[in-house]
Amino acid sequence: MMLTITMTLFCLFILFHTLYIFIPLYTSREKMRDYPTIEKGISILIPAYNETIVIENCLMGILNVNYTNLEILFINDGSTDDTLETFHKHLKLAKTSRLKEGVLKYEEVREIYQSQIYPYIWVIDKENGGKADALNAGIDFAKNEIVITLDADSILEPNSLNEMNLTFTDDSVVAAGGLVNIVQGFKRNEQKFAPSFKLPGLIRYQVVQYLSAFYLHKTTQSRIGSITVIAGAFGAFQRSILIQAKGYRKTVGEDMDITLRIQELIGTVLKGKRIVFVPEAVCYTECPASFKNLYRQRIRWQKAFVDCVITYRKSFFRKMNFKVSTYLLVDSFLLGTVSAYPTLMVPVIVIATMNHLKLSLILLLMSIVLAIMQDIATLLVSRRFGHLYCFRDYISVLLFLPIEVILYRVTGLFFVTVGTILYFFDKDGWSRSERIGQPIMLDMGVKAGVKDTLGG
Amino acid sequence: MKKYAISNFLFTMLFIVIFGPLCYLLYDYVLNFALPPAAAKQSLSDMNTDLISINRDFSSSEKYADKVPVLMYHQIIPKDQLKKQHFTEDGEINEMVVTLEEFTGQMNYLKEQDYTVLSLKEFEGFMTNQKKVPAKSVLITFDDGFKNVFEFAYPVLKKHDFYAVHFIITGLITDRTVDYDSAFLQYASIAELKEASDVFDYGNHTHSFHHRNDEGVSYVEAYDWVDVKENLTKANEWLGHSEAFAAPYGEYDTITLDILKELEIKIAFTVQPGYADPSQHILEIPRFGIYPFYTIEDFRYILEH
Repeated sequence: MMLTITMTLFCLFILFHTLYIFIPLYTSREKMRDYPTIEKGISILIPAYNETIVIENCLMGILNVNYTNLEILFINDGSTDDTLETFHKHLKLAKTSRLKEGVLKYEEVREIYQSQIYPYIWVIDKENGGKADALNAGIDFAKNEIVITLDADSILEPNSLNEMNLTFTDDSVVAAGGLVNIVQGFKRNEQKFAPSFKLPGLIRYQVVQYLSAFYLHKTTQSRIGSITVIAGAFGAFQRSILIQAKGYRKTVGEDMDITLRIQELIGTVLKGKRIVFVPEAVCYTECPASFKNLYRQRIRWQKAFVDCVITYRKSFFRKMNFKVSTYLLVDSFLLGTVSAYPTLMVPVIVIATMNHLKLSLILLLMSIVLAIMQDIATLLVSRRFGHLYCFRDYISVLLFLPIEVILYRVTGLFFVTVGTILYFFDKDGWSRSERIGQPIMLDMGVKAGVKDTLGG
Repeated sequence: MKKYAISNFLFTMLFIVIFGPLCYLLYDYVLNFALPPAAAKQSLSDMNTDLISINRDFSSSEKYADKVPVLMYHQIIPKDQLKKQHFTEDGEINEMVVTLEEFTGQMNYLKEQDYTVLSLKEFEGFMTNQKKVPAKSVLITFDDGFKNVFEFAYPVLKKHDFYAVHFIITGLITDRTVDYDSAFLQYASIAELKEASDVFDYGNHTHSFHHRNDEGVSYVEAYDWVDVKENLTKANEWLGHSEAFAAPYGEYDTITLDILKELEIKIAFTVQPGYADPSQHILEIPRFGIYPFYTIEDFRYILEH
């Protein structure tokens, strides 16, 4: 009986992960991008709560985008540090007023500011209400049809908005996720901003993980139409759909929550609409550099996931279509969370009973081989989108892979198991990971004046 | 697509080359341990395994036997592979098991002492007064058809050019050979039976009546004679001959003997200790059970008295 369950789970695991390798491998290629001449209006929403350190990087990215039909709304969510002062310093804010639609509820707005240097940048200063609340305020004030949500530490790649614009020319797309790169995984050399792998192990692990999460997993999900999370770091939505979804819900994982809500709409009233992943639309974000911060982040993610599974438990297969429900329940929940517990128990049981030792070894070996293969596929696919390492880096990546698979993935299991348990003790513990805010210079022809003010 | 065809192809090949064998390993393992093999679809009679026709000329022997000990074994397992279930509650080895080490010692003893290990045919000749056999003769028998006998006892017997009679429960013989694992009670496969037919003559141990009912009565005694006859007929058909029979648990009655006669079974054994001699009923030949607690001295004693 146990063996049957094990084998069933394992076969599912193999199936999913083989798909993750081969779907992206055989379907991803750099297409001829035929950018539309018409720029759709884009409103970028950036909630900021005590983000003094990283806000400059974020501004850098925004000032560098090659897009004109654009407005940026920073939402200062009652920061208790110098966030607002930082805005003042760089943007020369002036008090103003602005129309809002009044369709969503959020904490009181104290003041609206507009930048005198860059008139398309606004700052909404409001009482603290959490990230979801800040986003709702932003949606309410936004006036363009496409709304892009960023984290305060997200740095947009100059061409990213054009990619999103291209994506939304397809009317069936109601939401799109961009590709999130880890900023620490890039180095500037000779005016070029290129991937580098000379990094501490903890960051290497996250770089590899992000690459495979986006280039393989998200690509595959996008193909089969089962995207369950649009990363909060870089997501794009039709504004109307966010309002139809009644805005963001105050929860530990608002990005997954809104995505599932949209999936519910797609499964019920908006049949035929799609959520897609756009690997060409790139942004950079900081990843935690210490184990403590990584732990906080991952526990938060896991809590968010468990919260969503519980919140939407009645929607699966009823309101959400079969693919999304299956993907989430089987791959993410069953294989990702539930099976983590027995997986951690296996070595203990095997060593205690010495039964099925051979089987465990075969399964372990298969998992390791599959994981390494997946990482190699990640390198192949990411290359096709221009994520190129130099030869020496490829050698160190390949040498790192076995370590990543054997050592770091166990840490991942640990985060999943602990996070799930902690969820039931402390649902809304939103322990923040500390920001690092190392100055990043995206050398993309920034105006000299800005360079100076931003101290790059 | 064209652009990436080569790298895709190479990667796919690499994946298949590395992952394929692993999948096969897993498949093989699951087949071996997770899925108990089914009963054999074929029978021995389909496999063209003839009885061992060996019938040596013993006329040059100095002395002839007037009685012959018949040895009875069930399971042969190496000492280091004995599991908890092979021991009784007081820590003794189960009576049905003889360790491979003991068995090898006993066979070596037979070889050293120049014993003649008879084939079934020779033994039958002796029992029917048609043949004289050397004074130091012995017949080796096994009951039930366990895989471990084929795994461990067969090589030893073959090495010494010995013969043996193996009474098998024909309904339990499996359709495929699995890896040996002493943790399970494994029966031999049809292929193993065929392979070992140069050493073993196979006898009838019922097709599926190796059970006791709720009162603890052996099926052979508990069931109606029609059913018993049917079951034995099935086993005979499966074997392809009606040469020899041994009742499960050694439990039978006069009706059973009548059935054996009707089915033209030539020779049958009991589990009563004693020496076989031609004056006895040929359907009730006694056998000495060989037990794990026997020393080589005990073994010698049985052979010589």
